[in-house]
Amino acid sequence: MRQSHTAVVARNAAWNGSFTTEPWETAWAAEAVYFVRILDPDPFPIVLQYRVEISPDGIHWAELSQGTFEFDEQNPLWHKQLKHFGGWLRLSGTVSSSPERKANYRYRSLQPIPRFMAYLTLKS
Amino acid sequence: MTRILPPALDLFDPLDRILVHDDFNRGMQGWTGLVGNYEDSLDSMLPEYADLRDPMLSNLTVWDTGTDGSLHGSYAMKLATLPRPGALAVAIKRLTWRVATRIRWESIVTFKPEASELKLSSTDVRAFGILLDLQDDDLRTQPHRVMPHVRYLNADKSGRPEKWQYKSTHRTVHDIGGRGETKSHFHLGPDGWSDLPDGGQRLCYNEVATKHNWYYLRLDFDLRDMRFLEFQCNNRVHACRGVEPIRIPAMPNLWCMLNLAYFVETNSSKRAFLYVDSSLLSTDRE
Repeated sequence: MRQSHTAVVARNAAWNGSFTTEPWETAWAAEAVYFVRILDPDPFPIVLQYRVEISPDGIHWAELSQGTFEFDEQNPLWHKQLKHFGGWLRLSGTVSSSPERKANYRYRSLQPIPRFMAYLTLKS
Repeated sequence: MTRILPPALDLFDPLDRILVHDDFNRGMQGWTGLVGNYEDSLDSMLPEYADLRDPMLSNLTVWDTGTDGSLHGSYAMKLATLPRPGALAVAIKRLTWRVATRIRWESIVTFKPEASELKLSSTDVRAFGILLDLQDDDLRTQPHRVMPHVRYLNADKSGRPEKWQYKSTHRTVHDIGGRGETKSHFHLGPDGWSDLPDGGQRLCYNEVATKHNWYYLRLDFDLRDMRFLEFQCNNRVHACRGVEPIRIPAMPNLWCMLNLAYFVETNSSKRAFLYVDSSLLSTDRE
């Protein structure tokens, strides 16, 4: 039977601006999926520009791929599938409000900071 | 009777009945992260539990010599803290007990800071330790939840204490949420630790942050009267006379609980790592 493991790499994380998940060791795995779910989705999009990074030692990092997730009430969960990532993975990026969301909150004093769950699902 | 054991088991001294032998070459085997209790929202969790980091499988790869592997193969369980002084990582395995008897928990572990500087770094890991989280059975008069904790205080603000400690006091138990169904207390804070009698022990740190030497740990505990029997690290055996675990009134849904946990705490703005090669839990045969 193949080994598999789902790691919670961010739990109720308040991401606003730049973020980096903690390094995760993946040497035993051949395939991986990052899942990112927004906990309280907003009707107006929240944009997460991400980089998937790999490392030979868990200290020095290089970009493997990049992309954009746009979270709203219809799309609260996004994913990125990965192969050939070696012994370490981490996810980094920036979170910002879409122009529509900024406009919606323009006259309100408090713009809620989005909270996220991020998972790394690994399989041998 | 002398038992003939395979090499991966022969470095342990199990009691008559082996309950679990976790060799992390076979995966995580029930070891997982510790999350604080919550109700309705994760925001209801006690703040100390919010950033505990979960365990992973590691092949002990370092930047200067590559992959070390574990003691008996490629993989160990790794606990890694955030890079922030006082940050903790915890791994827990959850069972229940079926006979109140003597239990023995043995482990092969090692600890190191992240090798992000070309320095000795011997004071970057504050502490690592083990704990049991136990509860009496539901027919016991005056039942208790009992939490024996033992840690190795490697370094703190005063330098390198290099000594074993235990904890017998606890913080306030809080109600979580608004329904009165969930409680929580944080038991891994820096407060309330006492020195184990004659508990000083200098371990083999071995010069740089990328060399891993494995240590043997053994904790014997009696479930009948919930008391410490012995604790051992390598060549040092502690009788644990007068050493008390945390005792609190029993909680409504934890009967016969038998949880095992490892933890590690960083002393600096570097990640602290605790690696567990293998773990063995045994009991007397009733």
